[in-house]
Amino acid sequence: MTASNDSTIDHTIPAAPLMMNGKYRLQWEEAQDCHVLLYPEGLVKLSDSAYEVLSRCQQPVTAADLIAQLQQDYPDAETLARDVQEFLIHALQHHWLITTDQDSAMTESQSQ
Amino acid sequence: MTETGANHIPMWLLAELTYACPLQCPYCSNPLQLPASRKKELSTEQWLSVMKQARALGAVQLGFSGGEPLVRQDFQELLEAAVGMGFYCNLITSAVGLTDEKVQAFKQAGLSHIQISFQGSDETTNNTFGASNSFHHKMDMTRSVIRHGIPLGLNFVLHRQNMHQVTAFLELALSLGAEFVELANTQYYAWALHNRDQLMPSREQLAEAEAATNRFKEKHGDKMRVFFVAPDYFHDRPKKCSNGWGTTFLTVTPEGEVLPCQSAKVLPGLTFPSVKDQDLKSIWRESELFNRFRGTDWMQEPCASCPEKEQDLGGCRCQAYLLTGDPYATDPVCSLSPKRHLVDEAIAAASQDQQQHNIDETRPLLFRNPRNAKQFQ
Ligand code: SF4
Ligand code: SF4
Repeated sequence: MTASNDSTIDHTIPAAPLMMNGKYRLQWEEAQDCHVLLYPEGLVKLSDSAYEVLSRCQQPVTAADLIAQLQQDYPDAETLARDVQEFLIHALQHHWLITTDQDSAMTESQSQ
Repeated sequence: MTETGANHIPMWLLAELTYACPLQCPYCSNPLQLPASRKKELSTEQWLSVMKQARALGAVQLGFSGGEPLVRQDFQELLEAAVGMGFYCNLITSAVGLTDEKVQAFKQAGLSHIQISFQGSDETTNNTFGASNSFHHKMDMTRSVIRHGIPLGLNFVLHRQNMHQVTAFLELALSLGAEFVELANTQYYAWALHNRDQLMPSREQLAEAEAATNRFKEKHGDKMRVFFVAPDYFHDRPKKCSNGWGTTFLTVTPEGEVLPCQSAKVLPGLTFPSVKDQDLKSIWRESELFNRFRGTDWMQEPCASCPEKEQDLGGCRCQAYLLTGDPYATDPVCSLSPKRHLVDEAIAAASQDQQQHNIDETRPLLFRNPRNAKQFQ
């Protein structure tokens, strides 16, 4: 099995560890029979694979490590590295995920 | 196709805990007929039951609003119960009644999000339009919420008399450390409709406020997210009523009536079911009220044969009724409506008004309070 290394990661995804934005909450919803992502203005329903990725971002993790972990757990998923990266780009654009750098910068400016 | 309640999950429960409010905003969306006393408000047990029933129907977003929800002495208890049920809890507040200790307790209880409203970007404007001496307290509480790490949004309601303050307000929000700001233009229902002539901006004013918002966004980038919600009078297609009547939202009023949208009480010829005598599931799925404007079967022309009818569902029923007198009419915001001229006339009147920033002494704003509400009983 080939572990991913940094050079295979899309350049738009930061190298710093990623983490779920504190405003967002993952939750299983019985009535909708799926996981949802909750945030102040509403919610989005998540596919199983989207949930699988986000649930691993509750603690800071780099995109490279995340993909390596997922490849280990799902060795048969052929397009996994590409699919995960596409999803990460989407999640970053929507602020579901933030880079931990941003987070620490924010904490600093807030504690002044 | 006839839509029924079984096809939809009420994702949002809006719990209007009380109409009591220490502020008196002249654009308030609460009914003009404010109750004289709080005696008929739902009890703690009744609210707990409402939340439980809504959760069982699939509601997952809960907005505590009002009036001022913090007026309720049992707020902390309701919050804790709601978090325990798995709701994502939002508190929509003026910050009056909030203290640093409460913010800490709400954080511990698991409150997910607070929205604090401002009425102006400086002390004078804020305190004039809220009719309360609250500006410095709002700033303190904004800092407190950020310090305790509860996700926060600031809300600035825009109208003719404060719209020039957009940049100043955004600068203020940024300096306080806010991450999210909503610049919400007044929508003309209830008190705002009554005061429309004094609140409605001109087209030019609105365009300038939007441009100022964009300039701010360019200058500061992603540091703070800013949403500018334009008033629908200035569009040529209406907005869906509450994301579609009876599809997403359940509003429960302080006295227990259940509404498909916050202002539905103005509509004539409808009965409003109450959680005091019916369960929420049968209200959502079977009540005449919730089924009346679900889907598109109820429409008249031009909506009935319009190719866009699924996109806006004919717009807002309350706006249609308030402006045309007919709750089944096409929302007059739509340029295809035969009554669009009513909206254009209101905009033209606003643009002609010379005194854009001053309160016109001959037509004073009517502030929202129980005394002023008496004339509407
Ligand atoms: S709009 Fe103003 S008066 Fe109305 S409930 Fe909100 S804070 Fe109170
Ligand atoms: S005519 Fe009715 S359905 Fe068509 S765009 Fe206008 S409001 Fe929407």
